[in-house]
Formats: sequence, structure tokens, C-alpha cells
Amino acid sequence: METLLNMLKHIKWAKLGIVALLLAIIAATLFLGGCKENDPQMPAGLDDNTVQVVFAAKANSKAFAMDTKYALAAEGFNYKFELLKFYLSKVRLVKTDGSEVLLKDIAMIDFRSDKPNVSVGAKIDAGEYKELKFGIGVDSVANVSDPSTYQNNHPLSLINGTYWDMGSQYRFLMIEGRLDTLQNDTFDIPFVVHTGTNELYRTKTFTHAIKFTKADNKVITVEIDLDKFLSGISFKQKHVSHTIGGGFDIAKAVADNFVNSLTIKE
Amino acid sequence: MGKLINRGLFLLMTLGIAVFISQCKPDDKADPVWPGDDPYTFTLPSGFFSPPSDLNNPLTVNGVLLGRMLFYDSVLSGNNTQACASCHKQEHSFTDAPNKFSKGIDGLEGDKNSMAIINMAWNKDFFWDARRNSLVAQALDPVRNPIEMHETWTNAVTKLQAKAQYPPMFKKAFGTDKVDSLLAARALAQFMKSILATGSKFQKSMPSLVGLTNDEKAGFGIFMNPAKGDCFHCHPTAGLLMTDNFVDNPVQRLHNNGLDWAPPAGIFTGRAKVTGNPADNGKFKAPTLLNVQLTAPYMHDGRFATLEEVVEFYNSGVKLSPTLDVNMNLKADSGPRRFQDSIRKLDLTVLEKQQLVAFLKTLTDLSVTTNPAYAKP
Repeated sequence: METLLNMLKHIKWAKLGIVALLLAIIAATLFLGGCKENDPQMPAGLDDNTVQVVFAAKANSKAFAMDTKYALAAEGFNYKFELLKFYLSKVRLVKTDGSEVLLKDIAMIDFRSDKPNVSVGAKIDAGEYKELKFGIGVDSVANVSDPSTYQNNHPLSLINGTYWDMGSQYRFLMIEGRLDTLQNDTFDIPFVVHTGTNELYRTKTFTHAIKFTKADNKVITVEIDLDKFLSGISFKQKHVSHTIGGGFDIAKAVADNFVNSLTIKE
Repeated sequence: MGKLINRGLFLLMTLGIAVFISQCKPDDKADPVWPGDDPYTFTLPSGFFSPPSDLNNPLTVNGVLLGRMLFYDSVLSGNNTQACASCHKQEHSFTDAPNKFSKGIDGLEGDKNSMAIINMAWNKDFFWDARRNSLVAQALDPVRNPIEMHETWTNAVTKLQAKAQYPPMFKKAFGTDKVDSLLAARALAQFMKSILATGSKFQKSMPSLVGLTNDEKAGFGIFMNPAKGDCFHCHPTAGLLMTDNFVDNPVQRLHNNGLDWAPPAGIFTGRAKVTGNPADNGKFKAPTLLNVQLTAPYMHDGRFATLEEVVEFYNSGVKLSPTLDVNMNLKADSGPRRFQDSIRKLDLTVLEKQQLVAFLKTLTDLSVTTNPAYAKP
């Protein structure tokens, strides 16, 4: 009788042990795979490849710096920037078969900030790619979202200083600085252009062949030519616009010229 | 033996689940909190965004309580007569209104108007000239400033250590009963961050302006119109904080608002005094406009006694200088503002100025002045 009881006891503990083991496996599975909402939006990158898209501004054929004077004799002014920031949206690489891989949904590119950022990075699968695509601005859905709902580390957070109180939407490209129209270092005229509204969302596609095999870490540098950006749009006369409430034509010219000033540095 | 193995498996399972839960905490709740204390939490009304996490000094119940004790304790001053609260009075939204400048323990007067201590949890810069970038660093300064509390932190710490109530409070807040200046500053910062102004008429009216009078609504319109008042560039309404001192980009949160001519004619050089950079001449932190009705006089030097004077300054007194904020210099719709003898002219009517003042008064949250959680313990 005692032996029988002992056997039953062993069976009971054995069952509990199996249950415990199963629960432990479930818990471990949850631990390893249950936190996906915190993962960055990027493809799996099975082959340990990474790509970084870097924005590099140049002025007078040199690396650009804030608060620095640059001459633009053809336009009749010198210029210096105090603010240069923009939204980069839907950054994609296009495979040779035409399918698109999203590298980043949205990012804030800001050349002067407590946390300056001029690049986006992502893991990427092996393969051959033929194009780089992105938008300058915020897509029409996100553009009408409530900025107070975003975490502070999100590009659309109020902390980025891009939300447009008066328009209840986002500013896409913000440039501020001063023009020296007398070309004597007085910097007599400030400039402010903040582009926005769905109409001024701009897209850019670069033909760019790039191949990833295994453990490749590649950088694509997109150059912003600020001389080109400020040329051919009568910027000396037309340099103030918040897009809404007048000056839409100026904002449109600036938005167009900005994407036209971008090239891929080979 | 079987029992031991099975108990081990149960423990493993529990550990696995615990690790799973801890791994999936939202990022902004991952602050390390002294294990003997509880996080200090507050609920924000709709329209506010969460203040940035301070991983080095998360708010805790006992940390805030200790900070409150210290804030009101004159033992921090050289002759034990002045506390932080002496120049930051609750009834005036934690300013020294109606004083233009504050007097320290030796009767010496400073040269800056006492700033309101509300909604500090969002602020990036501290002091008018933004010379401190953390509230802990800010909290250390007034004690050792010879024209303010004029005490050494060494002495202050000795006095705090000797007061019976403090060592246990430090123990509860930080896990040690050994007082030190950094912990004291951390506690002060925590208390200051706990002071919120979230219930003004305007804040409650958003986003549809429900409850505002027609004049107040008209004033809001002038505030938001880039061709009229254009106040919102430095005092944005998005986020309901009425200051831009939460933005990551320093260029967007420090401004020359045209009070003075360029040096040497100008009296104060603002941010340039800290950086030595002439491009920063006249630049200051834009303070919150919340409770502005309670905090006269106005500007860094208290030069304007009333809100009417402030509005008139922006209407007809802004001085052109090489560092004048670009948004004040330029009219959004058509280019340069109208300047007459290098003085900006907004050409607001008498009624528009009255409406603007009416709107500014909707930013008053009297609960700040009466909330017992902010009062002297």
C-alpha cells in the first residue's frame, strides 16, 4: 500500500514537472519573441547587411557648417544658415525585380540640434538593388495626426519643433538664416522658409546600383548642394514664407529647388 | 530529488515570465528608481505630451517630498533667513512678483527677474540666459551665489545633516542617510518638476476654444496670426506649455526678442554672456506664458509692469538688431516687417491689443497657487 502511494506521489510530481517544463518553454519563447513592438521598422537582414543613407550638405564646394558665410555671387548675396532641418519619409531601396524594401518610415534630419541627425540606417537582405527612393516631408496621414501622442524619441514628437500651430500640421522643411545682400558682412536680411501642406510633399528617386552579399556595411551619401538650392528662385527677393497665409509660391519654389539640389555622391 | 528538480523548473518558469515582463516595459517607464522608493506619477490632461524621462534623476515619492522640504527650508542660506521659496512664492506662480529683482541675504539685488517654476519637467534650459541645461545643475547655483543665498554647499550639507528630519528623508529618497549636495539638488529638481500648470481656462478650452469669450478668441487669433501678433513662434500652443523651451534645437528655443539695441548700447547681452558668441547677443529663454497674469513685472529685467506694456512693446517697440529673431523680423506673408527708425511696427488697433491681453489672462491656472502638494510642508 505504501509503495503504491509512493508511486502515485512520483507520478504526481512527474506530471507537475512536465507542466512546469512546458510553461518554462512558453515563457522563454515569449521572452525571445514577444517584444516586437519595440523593434525598429526594418527588414530582417538575414545576412547581417546594413545600409546607411547619409545626408551631407555642401556650400561653395566645401563641407557645410552652420553660422558660416558662403558667397553666392551669381545671385548677388552671401548667406549663412541658422537652421536646416527636414523630414525624410518612406526611405526605400528598390530591388532589380522592382520590389521595394522600406529602410525607414520617417526620420528627422537636423543639422543643428541637441541631437543632430543626418542619417538613417537599416539592416537589409542580400541582393541587388537599383534605386533609392524617399520623400521630403510627412505623408498625408501622419500630417494630420496628434503630435502630443508621440513618444519623445519619435520624429513626429513635439520635441522636434516642427509642428505648425497655426496650420495644425507639420512643417516639412525648415530653413532660417541671414542674407548679406550688400555683400559687406552686414547680413542685412534674414530669411525664413517653412514648407508644409500635402501639396508640397516631394519625392525623389535616384538610380543607384548597389549590391549586398553578406556582412556588408554600405553607406549611400546624398549630397545637398546649398548653392544650387538657393539659386534660380529669386531668393534675394523671395525668402519669407510659412506656406500658409501667403507666400505659397515661395514655399513651392523652395520645396522644388531642395529636391533638385540633391545628388548621390558616387 | 524529483521535488528539487521540479521546484527548480517552477523557479525557471517564474524567472522567465518575470524577465519577459521586464523586457517589454515601455521605454519611457524604464527609469531606474531607488528600490526603496515609489515612482512619483502624475496624470496629464489631453493635449500634453509626456515630459522627457530623466534617467539620472527619476521622480520618486520621497524624492519629491524631500525636495519640497528643502525648497522651503532657509537652512540652505548663509544666515538661515532665505529659502528657495523666498524668491519663488507659490501665490505668484513661484516667482518673486511684484519685485523687479530679488534681494539676497545680504540685501544685494540681482539683475534678473525671478522666473516662474512651473512645468519645469519639459524645460531644456534653465535661467534666462540658459546657462544650465539640467534642473539639478540649476538647483546648485542659488545656494552658492553670493548675491542670493550666499552659502557654501559644504556648510549647507553640514546643517542639513545635523537636522534630525533630513538623514531619514535622504535615506528614504536615495538609500543613504549621508547628505550631500548632489542628492539635495536632485531632490530639489524633483520637487520643481512636480509643479504643474495644466488647468488654465485656455488649456481646458483646447482644441476647440470652448468656453472662451469672443474677445479671448479674437486675442487667440492675433496670438496665432503670423502677420499680426505672431506670438506662437516662441510661445507655441501645441503641447499646451506656452513656451518653446522643450524643443531639441537650441536655435528654436533661444531668442532675441528686440528689447535692446545691439551692444554696446544694449544693457544685457543675454545668452552671449555665456557663450561669448556675438551671434547670441540679446538671446534669452522664452519663458512660459502660463500664469503670466500672476507674475508681473515682465522680461528678464522686469522692465514692463503690466501685460498692456508688454503688448505695446511688441506692437511698437521691438528694436532691429543683427540678432533679432528671424521670425520677428519678417512677416510671414510678404517679407520684411514694417520698421520705422529701426523700430518694428505691428500696427495693432487698441481693440486688438485689449483682446490679446484678454487671451493672455486665460492662461492663468490658479490651482498652482493653492495646491497643497506644492505648499510649505
